[in-house]
Amino acid sequence: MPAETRKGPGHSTGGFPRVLSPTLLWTGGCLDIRYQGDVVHAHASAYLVLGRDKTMLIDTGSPNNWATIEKDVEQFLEGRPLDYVFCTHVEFPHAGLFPHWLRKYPGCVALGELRDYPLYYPEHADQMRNVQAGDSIDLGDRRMVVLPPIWRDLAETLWLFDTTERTLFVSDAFAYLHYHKNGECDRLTSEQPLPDLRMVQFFNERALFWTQHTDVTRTFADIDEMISELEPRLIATAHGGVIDVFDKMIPHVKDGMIVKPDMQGTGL
Amino acid sequence: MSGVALHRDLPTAAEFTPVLEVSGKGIFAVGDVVPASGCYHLTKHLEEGYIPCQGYVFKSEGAALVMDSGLGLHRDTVAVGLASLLTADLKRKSFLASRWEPDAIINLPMVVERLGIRDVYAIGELNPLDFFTGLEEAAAHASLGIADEKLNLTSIMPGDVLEVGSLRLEVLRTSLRLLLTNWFYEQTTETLFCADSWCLLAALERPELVRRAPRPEEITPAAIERALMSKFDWLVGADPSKLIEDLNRLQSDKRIARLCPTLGGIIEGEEAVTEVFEATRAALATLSRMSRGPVLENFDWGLCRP
Repeated sequence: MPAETRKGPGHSTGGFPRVLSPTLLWTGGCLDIRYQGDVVHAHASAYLVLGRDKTMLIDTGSPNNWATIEKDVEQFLEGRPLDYVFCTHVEFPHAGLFPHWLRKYPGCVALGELRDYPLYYPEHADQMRNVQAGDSIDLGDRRMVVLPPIWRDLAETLWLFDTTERTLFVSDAFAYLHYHKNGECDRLTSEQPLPDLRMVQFFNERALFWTQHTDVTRTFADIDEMISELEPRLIATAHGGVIDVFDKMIPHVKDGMIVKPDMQGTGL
Repeated sequence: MSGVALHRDLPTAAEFTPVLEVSGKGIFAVGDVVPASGCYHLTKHLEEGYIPCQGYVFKSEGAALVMDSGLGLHRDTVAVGLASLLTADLKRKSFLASRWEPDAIINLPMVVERLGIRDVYAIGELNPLDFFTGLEEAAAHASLGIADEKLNLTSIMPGDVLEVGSLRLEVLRTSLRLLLTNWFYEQTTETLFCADSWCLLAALERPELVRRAPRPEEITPAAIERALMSKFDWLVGADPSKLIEDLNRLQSDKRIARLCPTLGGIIEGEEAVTEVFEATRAALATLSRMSRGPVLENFDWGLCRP
């Protein structure tokens, strides 16, 4: 990783990783998705936070990106160990590299709602610690506060908030597809037009299936309260670009969650 | 930093049989059990006994299909069970992922490496082979002398029928789900493979895979509500009309002699299946009338100040 990008916020290069601040790295990769006869991409992102005393990776990244994520994390750590892996939930794009990180960093502790993880990764049961909403993890110069998720699929999903950098990590929420060919992978929302509403809908149909059968507007007061109370600087989603402007993006995401397009022919 | 250690000594059965015949026509459950006392998220509604966790094998006329592969905790047991069925005389072996979740496919690398399976069927737009590293290497290392190490992925859609010898596995759409999921109906045995729905039966006396008629108290609407809430808590306050319509259509279109879930015992008997469907409709209606609990009630935002 070039020294000049390591020391400060980096600019978009069209691909991962991107340094969002001297202590926050955005890494990961993309999954190919078939969408209306074309191949588009869905982010599968992970974020590395360098606290003064401890480091934390939020979500593990997807296994098909292991080689690049491993290198990105090693370079950003600059010889420090990875102390924590926070798993928002157990789907493969979020937790598929769980055993890899725990093998690579034997002192690393996995955090999350991990009650079922010993069923999948019994060899790492000793490295698992269960946390719940309201708990916080002290990284030295900041706390990572565990939050209840407003929009999620698996019930054991947890969100996270960095009290110093005010980054809100929201897992599957605020997700949308993107076209790789235009070099959109590492753009912040301030650096690109609003995503195509259909790209937002597509993701919600799959990741947040319940939006098809519920009145999703009933959740909007909760998300508004959370944003109002936290005043995040960034919203770091697992499956979309990092959000740094909210006035247009949040209403746009809400719109994408409301519309229920015809599902015929999609295989779903 | 608060947090509760999760290491626990999980009991294993000394004399456990990992294979259970589902039908005389070549369908088998392969898996192991977890104790209900383990308080796992997915099975928290069952409080007593041992909860079967299984995949299924379809074996007929020299062909075999493995549907899902059990839990990582049970990897070695599942490998033994699968190896006993996937014998050397088989001309074709394949794997079907009903869902992309770890309780369905966490052992896919083991299936590739130890059993030499190369053909994988999967649903939807993602490639499940992307969820594991080293699958190609695992294929290469398999000591079965297979020249072609490449894994072959075939996408399937609702309405497709997979033929395994004389068995016919129809791919079904379902709306009773959380993540991308398909159900499957085996036409010759009238068996419905229902993925992560209907985890209702435990082995009550000893650790074993189970296929039986349910006791009445196991399939009441209240029991099914609790089971649905373990995975599908989005049903609270949801509009159940589409889900009930889908269940009605399925029940009218197909005779169903048994239900085969990923978690929980196999529910045997057409009459029992009818009762389960009826109780499920009642449970869905009840859940729809409930209100979603407040997510942020009493959350102390002061925790998030610097």
